[in-house]
Amino acid sequence: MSFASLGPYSHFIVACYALVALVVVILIVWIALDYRRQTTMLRDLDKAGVARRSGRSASDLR
Amino acid sequence: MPLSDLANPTRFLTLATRILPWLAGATAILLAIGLYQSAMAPDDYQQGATVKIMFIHVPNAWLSMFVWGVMSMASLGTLVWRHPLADVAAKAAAPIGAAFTFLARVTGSLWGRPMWGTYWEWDARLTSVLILFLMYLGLIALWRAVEDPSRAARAAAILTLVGAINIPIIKFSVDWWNTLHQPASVMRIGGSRLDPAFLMPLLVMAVAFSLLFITLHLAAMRNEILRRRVRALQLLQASRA
Repeated sequence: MSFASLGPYSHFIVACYALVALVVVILIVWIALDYRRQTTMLRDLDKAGVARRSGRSASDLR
Repeated sequence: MPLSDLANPTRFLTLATRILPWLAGATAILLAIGLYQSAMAPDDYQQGATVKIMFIHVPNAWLSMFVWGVMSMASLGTLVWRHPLADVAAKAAAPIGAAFTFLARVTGSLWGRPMWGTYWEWDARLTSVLILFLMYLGLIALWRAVEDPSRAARAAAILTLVGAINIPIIKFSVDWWNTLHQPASVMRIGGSRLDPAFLMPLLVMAVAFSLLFITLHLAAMRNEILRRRVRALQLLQASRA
């Protein structure tokens, strides 16, 4: 399937798929970066000697 | 593991970490199949190749309503059962639901311009979806405005349940009012009106986007649990200082 075979409104079709891909990638990257930020903060708290009520270390995700 | 064990955030974290890679893999495979089928689908006799926009517009539109449904169930969990994960689930779902609603709105406009001759019309379906998008943004703002998660939870849960009134309005707007938007052609009494050549890619993409939502939601819930753990430990650290 080529770009031309999409007909006279090919720009609308390509724009839709590109936009959906962009937003999905932004969501994935945002969630991945947030996960990294939270685990880094938990590790920092761990290093500062702050433990959970259960006695487990702050960065223990179990 | 009994289902009730998932009420425990720590056990939920363990389960989420274990199944997320599998969910992500299944989502990627289904999206690839759906995109291939969408690319290979024939042109519609009226819409031409713009029918391909429907394969991403419709799943996003369904999910925009489904995510609010999930948040409404979670809100009941917050208000009635005070489930420890209910508010986490609702808060984590809101930005994802807002993104799906935004995509449904914009892809709908990009389809509408060549087919209807306009990007936007103040008709019942388009306007009620715009209201849904604004409600998502309002909820996200509410959660961000109140620092204490438990105080924000109740207000957000009430707002979510009030906003749920909009979901049947969106669904049936095309039946109740004379709208530019066409009536339901897949989920309707009497079965789908779509030809299998269009129905199959649409259903595969709908399942793929639903799996995408489940994957992103689980990951976002995991982040929210960790964020609350960080906050609790920081408060503990501050009280000791």
